[in-house]
Amino acid sequence: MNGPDISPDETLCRLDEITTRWTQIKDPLKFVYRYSTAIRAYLEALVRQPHDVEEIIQEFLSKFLQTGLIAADSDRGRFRDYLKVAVRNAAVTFMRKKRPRQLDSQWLVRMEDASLPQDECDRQWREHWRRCVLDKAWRSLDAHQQRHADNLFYTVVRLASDHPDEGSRQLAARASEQSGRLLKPAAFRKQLSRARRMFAQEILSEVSRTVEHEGMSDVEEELIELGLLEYIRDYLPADWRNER
Amino acid sequence: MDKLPVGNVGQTSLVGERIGKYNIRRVIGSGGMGLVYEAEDTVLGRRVAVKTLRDELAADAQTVQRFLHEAQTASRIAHPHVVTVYDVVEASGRVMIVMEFVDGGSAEELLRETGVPDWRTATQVTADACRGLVAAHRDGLIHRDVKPSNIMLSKAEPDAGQTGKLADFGLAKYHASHATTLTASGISVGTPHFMSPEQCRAEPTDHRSDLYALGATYFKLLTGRYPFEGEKAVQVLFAHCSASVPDPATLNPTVDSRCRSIVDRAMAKEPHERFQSASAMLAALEDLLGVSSGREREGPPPSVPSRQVIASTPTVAHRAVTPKLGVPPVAAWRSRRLLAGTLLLCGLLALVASGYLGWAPPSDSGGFSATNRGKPMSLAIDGVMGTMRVAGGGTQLIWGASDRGHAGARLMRRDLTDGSEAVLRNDEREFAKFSAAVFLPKSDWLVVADMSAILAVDLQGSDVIPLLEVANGTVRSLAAHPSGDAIALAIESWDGDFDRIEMYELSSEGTLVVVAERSMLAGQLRGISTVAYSPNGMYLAVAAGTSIHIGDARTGDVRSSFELPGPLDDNGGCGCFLAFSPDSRLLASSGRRGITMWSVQNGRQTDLPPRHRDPISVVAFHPSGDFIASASPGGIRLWHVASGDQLGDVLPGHGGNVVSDLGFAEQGRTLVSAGFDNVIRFWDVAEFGDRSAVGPAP
Repeated sequence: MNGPDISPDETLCRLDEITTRWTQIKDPLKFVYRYSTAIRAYLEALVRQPHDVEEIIQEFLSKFLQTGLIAADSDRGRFRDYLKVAVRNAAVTFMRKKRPRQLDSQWLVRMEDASLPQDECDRQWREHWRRCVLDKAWRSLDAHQQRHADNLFYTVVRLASDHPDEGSRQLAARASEQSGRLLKPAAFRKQLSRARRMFAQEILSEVSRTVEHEGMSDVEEELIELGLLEYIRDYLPADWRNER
Repeated sequence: MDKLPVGNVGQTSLVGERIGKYNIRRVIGSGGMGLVYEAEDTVLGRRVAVKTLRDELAADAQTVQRFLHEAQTASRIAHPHVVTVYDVVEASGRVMIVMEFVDGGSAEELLRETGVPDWRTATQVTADACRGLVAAHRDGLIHRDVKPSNIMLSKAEPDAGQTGKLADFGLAKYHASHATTLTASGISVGTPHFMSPEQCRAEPTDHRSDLYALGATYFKLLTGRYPFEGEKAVQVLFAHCSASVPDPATLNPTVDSRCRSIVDRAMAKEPHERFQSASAMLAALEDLLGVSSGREREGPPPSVPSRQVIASTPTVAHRAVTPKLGVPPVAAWRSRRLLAGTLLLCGLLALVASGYLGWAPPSDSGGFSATNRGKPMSLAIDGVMGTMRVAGGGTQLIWGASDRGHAGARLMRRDLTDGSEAVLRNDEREFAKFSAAVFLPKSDWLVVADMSAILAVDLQGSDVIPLLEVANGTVRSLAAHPSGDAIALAIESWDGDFDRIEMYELSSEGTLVVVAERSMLAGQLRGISTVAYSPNGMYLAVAAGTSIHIGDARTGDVRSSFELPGPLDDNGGCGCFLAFSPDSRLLASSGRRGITMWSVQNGRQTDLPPRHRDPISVVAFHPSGDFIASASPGGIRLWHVASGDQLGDVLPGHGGNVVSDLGFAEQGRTLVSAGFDNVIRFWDVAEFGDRSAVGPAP
């Protein structure tokens, strides 16, 4: 089977479309949904009571609906940090109101001072945020494959990720088996190359949407902090850092 | 179609009016778009349901256009589990959809009026709706608003229970396009309880969003509760995106524990972790109900047109899919073979007359036959097929299927004599796969490659013995010596080193253990694909790249080697598949567009005509040894070995998918095939014996 008829530039032409000012996001609630698993995991690490988590989410969403991102100013930095503070504030407000007698003063001090490290909670937050970015990229590949019957972008990247020790011959056979379509090793490699570029592009785009900046240096810093840059660096165009 | 007061939907009542040939009698329901009436078609004298748009929506030309377009789209679906759209009428400036009147109310009403049904009824209703989705998705239509109030229940056959029918096609798309705006502005949408995470995030949706909604609907039918409850829609949507789905049994202890796995799978957060088609979900629901046959499962998901899914015994008004071999034989591949072909017909008819090819009419008493009424013509595998084998004199079928979400694999056995199925082994490890399997002759053991482990699995599924661990490679093929005391493994190396054959002797004294190990052609094999023992137990054949080797079955010493003529045709990495004839005199190979055979005794090569459009992936000898079947993505063919003539026409195979396994069952009466479409198909070889089909005897 030959490779799909997809322009080599198709997966690269969207760098110019990246929105890098998250405070200008038109529908922040959808953004919140996208990172909902990170919010939930963070709250579970913070308060540990499932019922409390649900109530805090309810309060957080209510407040978010009322204010949206209006309260954010242009110096907010990363959306990730802004959201974390907003979630934590909702947790503190809830705990002050609902559990005043059970509040651990140390806990409250830590919660109220954003500069103090909260290792486990922060780790959960960063790890699940990273997961959300990756999930978004996987969904994009999957949706692309669903829309274009002649490509296997999701399948080939998933296989290459799941079986890192296998060569293109084995992976092509697996892809053929999964998709029910003949795929030669050469065609597999071609698809994989394009799909990886698209995957990298999706990650870059998503991370770019969550920083507030005029260039790409903040994006690179965020990619490094999330541990994503090493995975995508080789599949981005050489000039991806160029400021626009 | 919840019953609501007319005033709630902003529409003037039409009760008592006559519009065209329809007399409007009463309001029977209300949806977000408008009212639904019961009416009488005065020409045909039948009850119909008439759906109308709300007044303010009816005044919007774009809305009306969408309403009409979607109604026309839905009207293309003619299916017992979809409410039929009869007509679209424009009269007096009003647009109406005229459709089938379903007398049992909706599943939502069932819950409201009679409470939570038992889990079997809930599963049955969900399965019916899923059948409707199979038909809709096949036609490229995504419902987008699956929920209990959109499943109508027919009481037409009181003894047969209620039949679920999916309703409100088309309107849902309209709803979805507005849901985002409503949600973003914080106004509660009508029904957030069944929205998929990708719908909540306003990301692209496809047919798998319907499966999520059906999973949520199933949850509601099982428990009477929504999967996620909340005071506000945004909270519910947030939960769809992030919270684990509760176990239905925690809300309704009478729910069968197996229901949970279906709900979990259907409601997976990521679309690629759900059932990938309505057919796959239907198979799981039917398995739970124990009705794995007799129901139609059909059609690929709309965006994957290359995948043909399932065709089983048709029900009323369903398309009958009956694989047949029995049509006149194609022209002899060489003109001088004409006489041989004629003689072949005589021989074939003689075989038929003697009952060898199953001329006897199929029995209704238990025995499996592809032509038996009520028996499946195909089995849809829920997952990715790893291997399939027929053995036990053609009465046993086993297959391995890996979870599409890489969440494990199951090894299944089906008894073809009574249709019973059993799970022999369930490996819940991530990425588990049964890549190869073989029945161990003269025993009740099956030897399987479960990732790197080679296991002996008791055919009853009650015992598992680890035999050995394969290092640094994937088992591509397993073979068992006819005596049942040895196995051979074809192992593809992971590190680019040489592939290898490993031979093990087994002892069954006490328990099954490996007692000796040998190798064959060490350091000489690349591109290994198959290993096969000859039925007489003397030889072991190996295919690697274009090279075929025949060695001593016990020592591994190579006795003869052959080379496939010309380069190996591309076959997607499947390599060559080898099969010995039952008398061990011939070795047949796939790999090219025609079968190549060698005489084991003198090496004489015979090439059957390259009539396959694509390379052959697998071959299988008929138990008589007189016939051989070959399969490629283009179809399955049957050949007379001696003359090289093809019998009958090419079978459709697996809809363009690679056929991975092939075998004869029932003493050669049935040909069983498995393909990359993850379906096992049963082809009735007895059709060859149909005199009217084969043609008059000379």
